Amino acid sequence: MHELSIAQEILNIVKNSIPSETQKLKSVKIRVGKLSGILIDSLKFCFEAIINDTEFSGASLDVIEIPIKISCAECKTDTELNEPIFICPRCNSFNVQLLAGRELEITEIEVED
Amino acid sequence: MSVITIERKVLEKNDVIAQQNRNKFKLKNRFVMNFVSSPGSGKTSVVEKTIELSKGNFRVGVIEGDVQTNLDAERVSKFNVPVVQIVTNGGCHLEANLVRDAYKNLENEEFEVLIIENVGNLVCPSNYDLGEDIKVVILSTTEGEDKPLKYPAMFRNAAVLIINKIDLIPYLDCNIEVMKKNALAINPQLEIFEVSCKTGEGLNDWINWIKKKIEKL
Ligand SMILES: Nc1nc2c(ncn2[C@@H]2O[C@H](COP(=O)(O)OP(=O)(O)OP(=O)(O)O)[C@@H](O)[C@H]2O)c(=O)[nH]1
Ligand SMILES: [Mg+2]
Ligand SMILES: [Zn+2]
Repeated sequence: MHELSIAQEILNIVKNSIPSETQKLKSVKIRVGKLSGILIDSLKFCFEAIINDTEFSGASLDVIEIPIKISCAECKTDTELNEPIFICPRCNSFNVQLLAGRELEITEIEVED
Repeated sequence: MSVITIERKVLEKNDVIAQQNRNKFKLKNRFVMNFVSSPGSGKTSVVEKTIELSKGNFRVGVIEGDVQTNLDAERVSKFNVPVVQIVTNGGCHLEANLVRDAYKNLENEEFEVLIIENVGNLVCPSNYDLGEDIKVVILSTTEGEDKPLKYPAMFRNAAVLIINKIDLIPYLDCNIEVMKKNALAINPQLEIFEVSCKTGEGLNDWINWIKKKIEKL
C-alpha cells in the first residue's frame, strides 16, 4: 500500500544523484528483501506512474529480490529460507540471526552519456 | 552509458529523523512504544486500559495516528492525559517526521511512557522506524491463528505481542496456542500477553511489565 511513497523516495534519491541534468536516466537498480513487505509489481507500477510525463519517462526500475537468509548460533550454518519461519532447518534451533531479507536499497543508476 | 553507484537506503531520510526522535525521547528518559495492528484489533482500547491502570504507577502521553478523523484522540483525551492526533490523509502508516512534529506539542508535558498508535495496517508501518524503543503488535482472537505467518515482517520486528479479545474465545474457532506457536516461529523473543480490554483479564501483567521496563531507564 505504501509502494507509492517508496517510489517517490527512490525518485528523490535518484534526482540528487544524477551528475548533470542533461543526462537521461536509463535505469535504477534496487535491492528488495523478501521480508521488506514491498510488493515488487506494485512498486514498479508506481515508479512508472510517477515518472510518466517527466524527464525520467521511460527509465526502468530493475529489482533484485533478496532471499531471507539466517545464521544458526547453535550449528553455525547459514541457510536461505523459502518461508519466513525462523528455525534452523538443520538442527531445529530457534537461536538464529537474520542475515538478509530486510533490504530496501538503491544500488546504482544508469545514465546516457 | 555510464553506471553510477549509489548504495543508499531508500528510507534513509526517515531513518535519520527517527534517530533524532529517539535522542529526544532519551533526553527525557521516556519509554516509547509503537502500537501496530490491523484495523480494529484494539489498539485504542489497549491505550485506554493502559492509561486507566497506570494510575499510581506511571504517566502516559499519547500520539494517535489515523487515516481520517480525530476520534481516537477524542477517546483518549477523556482520560486527561497529553494527547496529539496525527491525521495522515490517506497515508497508510506513520513516518518519523510526522511523529517529530506531533511530539513538539507533548515534549514539555509530564509523562514517562509515550504510546504512538500507528495507522491500522500490518504491512506498511513495519518499514518506518519512528524512533520508538519497541513495537507492540496487537492481534485479536477474531483475526485467525495464521496472521503471524502472513505478516512476518511485523511480528519479527516487534518485541511484544498482545493477543486481545480473549473474552471472545468461547465463541470462536481460534486456537490461541496455535496463534502463539506461529508468532514464536517468526520471533522466539516475543513477549506475549493474553488480554481482554472488555473484562480486564491479563492487563495487570502488561502493566507490571511496563513498570519493570521504566524502572530500568
Ligand atoms: N469483545 C471485545 N471487544 C473489544 C476488545 N477490545 C476492543 N474491542 C472492541 O473492538 C473494536 C475496535 O477497538 P479499537 O480499540 O477501536 O481498535 P483499534 O485497533 O484502535 O482500531 P483502529 O484505530 O480503527 O485501527 C471496538 O468496538 C472495541 O470495543 C476486547 O478485548 N473484547
Ligand atoms: Mg484506534
Ligand atoms: Zn542450526
